Amino acid sequence: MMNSEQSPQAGPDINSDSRMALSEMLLHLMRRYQQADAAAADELVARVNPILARYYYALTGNPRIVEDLLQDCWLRIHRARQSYRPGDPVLPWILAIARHTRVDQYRRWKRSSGRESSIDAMAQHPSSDPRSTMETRLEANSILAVMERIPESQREILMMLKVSGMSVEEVARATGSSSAAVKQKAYRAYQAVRRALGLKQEQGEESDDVHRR
Amino acid sequence: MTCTDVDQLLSEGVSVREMKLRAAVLEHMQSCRRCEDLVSWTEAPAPDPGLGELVEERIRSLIHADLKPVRPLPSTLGAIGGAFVLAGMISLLHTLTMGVRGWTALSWLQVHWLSGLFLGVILLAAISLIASIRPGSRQRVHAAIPILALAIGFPSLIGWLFPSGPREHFVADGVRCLAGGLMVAAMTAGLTYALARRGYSTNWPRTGATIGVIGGVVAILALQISCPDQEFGHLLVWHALAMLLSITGGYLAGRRTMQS
Repeated sequence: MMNSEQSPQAGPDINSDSRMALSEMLLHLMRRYQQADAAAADELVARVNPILARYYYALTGNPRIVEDLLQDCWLRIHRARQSYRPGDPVLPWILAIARHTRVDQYRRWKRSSGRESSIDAMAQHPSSDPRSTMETRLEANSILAVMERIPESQREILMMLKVSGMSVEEVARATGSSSAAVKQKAYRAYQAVRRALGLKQEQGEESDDVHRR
Repeated sequence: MTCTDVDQLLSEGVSVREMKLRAAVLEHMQSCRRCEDLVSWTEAPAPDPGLGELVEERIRSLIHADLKPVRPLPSTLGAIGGAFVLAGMISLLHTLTMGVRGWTALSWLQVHWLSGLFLGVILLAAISLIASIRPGSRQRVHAAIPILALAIGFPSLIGWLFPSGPREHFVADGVRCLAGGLMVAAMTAGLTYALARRGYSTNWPRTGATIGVIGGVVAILALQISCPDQEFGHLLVWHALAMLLSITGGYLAGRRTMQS
């Protein structure tokens, strides 16, 4: 088993070699998990949970919601583990379940609150999260602030590409759409990010002007 | 190289590291602040919610509490084989109880075209169903394809191959056929649902409709074998109705499953 520190991590810019290594390792772990190997299950959680946490955090912006989603998602992964076909890529399988968990949670939330509002309303910024350092929160806020300006469906695609390092084909599998549709959404998302970054810069310059005055 | 080209490369999944190896991209980024910002943003790690070890520990204990070996779902070929075996067994059961008066009355052309349609729809529905209960799998056949193939193919074929004419006891005979067809559809769909529950559907209404198609096609097959009344009007109204009700029932049951 690979040590956490030595292993390739999924991220925004993992190269194709580490992406392959991670995929291979997850395939191996998933096969052993299906055979009830507790160590493999632990290792799988250690590898995949940070990816899921970042994915959910980028979509909701709220650590408490992320915690609930993670537990619900892992429960579903565990109950559905026989639906994974050995040899298929693991991350699209996991992220398809993760995506469905979030959609279900939103439906439940909408039913219980009885309110008609956008899915974006679920997103709240962490205002008093003692676990985050000031530095990471500032960094998080800048990424989340940009994310907030992107439509939900595009944001999801962007986060799958950014957080998990999945290929366009794998994202298409996870979202149940075609590669062409994923590319189109990603293209629009990057244009939206560009606009949001431009807007942030303008706002920053304006506030600098106000301070100078 | 333009800003649009940079967006294009990113949306095609080209990593920032790979992009930075291209001289044209680097040259463009040196003169374009907006692209530089976009690439830096893409390169920055996604924020971590900082949940700590406790959450992972809880997830691990949740998994350990119920860790048993599982048998993975069958391959697509296995699912296709299973669907044919199920359809064959239920049709045979129906034939043993209701007879083969319908099948013997059919012409060679009718038998071949109808068999082709039924086998094709079962094949497509099985491929669609196995993909719909395996998250993250490639959707080779959209769920709408077997539904459309059956809903359009059956009326078209009977319009072409079966005679129409005036007949007695249209409703009484028809209701008997409908009841028999629905019974076969419910039995098939129920067994298929029991098998599909082993998987994980991210879209139960769609999965339910596909299960309904399998129920519907086996119902029509069973009715074609047993029903002696092979007249266009009877087939179009009563046999096709069993199929439509099966698909609608499957879809509604899927919606209910999703909501619960």
